Amino acid sequence: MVATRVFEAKEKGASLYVVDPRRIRLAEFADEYAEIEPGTNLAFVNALIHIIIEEDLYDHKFVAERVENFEAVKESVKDCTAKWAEEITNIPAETIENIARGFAGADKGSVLYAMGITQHKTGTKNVASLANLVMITGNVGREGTGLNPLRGQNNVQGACDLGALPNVLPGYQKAVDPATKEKYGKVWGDFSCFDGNKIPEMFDRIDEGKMKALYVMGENPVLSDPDQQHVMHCLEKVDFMVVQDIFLSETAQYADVVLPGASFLEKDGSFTNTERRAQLIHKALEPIGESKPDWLILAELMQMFGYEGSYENPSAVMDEINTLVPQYGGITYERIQDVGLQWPCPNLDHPGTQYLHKDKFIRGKGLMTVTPYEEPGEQADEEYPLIMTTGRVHHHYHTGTMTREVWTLDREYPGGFVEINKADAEKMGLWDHQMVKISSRRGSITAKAVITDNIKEGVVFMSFHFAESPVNKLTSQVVDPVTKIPEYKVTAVRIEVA
Amino acid sequence: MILLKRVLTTCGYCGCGCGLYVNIEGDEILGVTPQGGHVVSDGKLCAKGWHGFSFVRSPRRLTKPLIKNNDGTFREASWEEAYKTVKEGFTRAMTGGDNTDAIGVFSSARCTNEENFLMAKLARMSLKTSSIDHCARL
Ligand code: SF4
Repeated sequence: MVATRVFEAKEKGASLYVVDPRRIRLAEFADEYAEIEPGTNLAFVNALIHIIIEEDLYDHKFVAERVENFEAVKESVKDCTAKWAEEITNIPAETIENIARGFAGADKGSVLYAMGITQHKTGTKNVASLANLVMITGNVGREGTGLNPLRGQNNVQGACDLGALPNVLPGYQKAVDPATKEKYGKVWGDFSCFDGNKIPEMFDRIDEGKMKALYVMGENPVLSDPDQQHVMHCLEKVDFMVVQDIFLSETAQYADVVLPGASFLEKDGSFTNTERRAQLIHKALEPIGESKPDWLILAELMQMFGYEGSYENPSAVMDEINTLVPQYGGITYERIQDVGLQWPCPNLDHPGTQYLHKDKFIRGKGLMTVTPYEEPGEQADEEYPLIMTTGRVHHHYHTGTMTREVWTLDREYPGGFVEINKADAEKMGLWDHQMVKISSRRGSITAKAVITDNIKEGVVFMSFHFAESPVNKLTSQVVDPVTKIPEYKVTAVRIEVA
Repeated sequence: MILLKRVLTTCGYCGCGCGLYVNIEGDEILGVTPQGGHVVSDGKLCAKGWHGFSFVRSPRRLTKPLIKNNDGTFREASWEEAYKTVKEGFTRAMTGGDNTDAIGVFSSARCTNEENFLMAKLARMSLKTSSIDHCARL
């Protein structure tokens, strides 16, 4: 759907710049396509900022009135010339200059990004550098501008908003803040309000023998987490595990108890999309067999542990959300029956918020961050001469537990595959559709070779939809120090005939 | 006679949140119809929205709670027994104080807002752990 919007903008005369190590479909329509070396985003963005400042193409008024720390960033990118970035990113200096001038010259500029930015050791800095770019060009708080993360799974926004995070309570209220404890304590009584472990840290705690029990709802970490060996080892080790899912996933195999949940067509509730718009889902079918809607399972378990309250339906849960989560204060089922509302929506009279940061940033002035380039955690060498990057293919969804059950989608990409550049394939003497072995410093898997022009030389691409080619056996445990997001986009590998 | 039913809902595959009707007869999905005028998708859907729903009635769906036997196989169980086993398992792992380092909870970016909220509450209030996270960062 986002692609549709991009095409519409393009038809109306917008310029499109695509930066990706794979020549994705959108690249065909781009004014400039930059075939970037995986793991070098920061060098590219810093060069854009350097050129825009150097050539005086930045938005002076916006910078003066609404931004802090501009001088420090300016100083930090002073040597980041297009030539310098060309060396690192392999994007021709001229292309970098064209993109910088084009983006700075546009009346409205918008940056769309996904895991290609975040799944790196420098993921947090990558996002911060893009924020610098939209700030110096004044592309904030107006229609058709901004920094727009594209979320893969449907309700990432809602999961974050409503508290599926270790450091905050629902509504991004800091767990360690005494005010949060007091506010939630009134409704929840005694509860744990610390900075908890993020997922990779939970696995570490299990490995150390401290964490004894795990509850996994609707996720399949065996396929989706980096370093599959380590994950399987930990799931094997943990004393007790509950998995709640709609299929017996690879992860569920390790469970002591499996609870059958319901799909989104079998329950009521709400999702929040990437524009922060909360929208209703309605039950179309009864949950299959004896399965139950996940909200009901969670509510019943709460009662097992002594909770005296109860929820008649998801709307009653939303009532509690209205009182505790300021951003959702005015988002009731009644109001979103027909059209969803965008948070922040603090009360029943509030119309919702279309653009964040419209007149001022939430924190006042926008803070620019110095984000120097760092090399990715893994480098190619003689033994592992190729760089593998991972992602999704159009017809599948995350680890494939849903889409692989749908034959009309599965036949489009029926098995694990690895995309290899023609020139690399020739050097290795591979032919199309041959089975190959892909090895990294952590393990080996096999998959079918797909030989293509659409990927950079020296780079191979794999998707993590396929249980028979578990890519995460190969990926490293290098993570972004802030978010703990693993560096999925850069793994050094070797390929040989299987 | 079973009547054809049309249920308006939001596509659950990606973060766009397109609007669609699911056409139902009895317990069977006959197909979907995009919702004209929807604020996000205005009558359009991608391939996943059009075709992505037959998994709901896949024969591989889990239909009953399962409990693992000593030999590693699963047996079907009642909800009552499953809940009891869940309670015992977590109770064994509890430290008597805060369980942030003893119990971990993975919530899901595929589940609803309400479910994520309840999972946060179950984790922090009932299981006394702050270790709750979801896999979407992956
Ligand atoms: S129809 Fe396609 S674009 Fe729209 S929400 Fe569903 S998967 Fe996303």
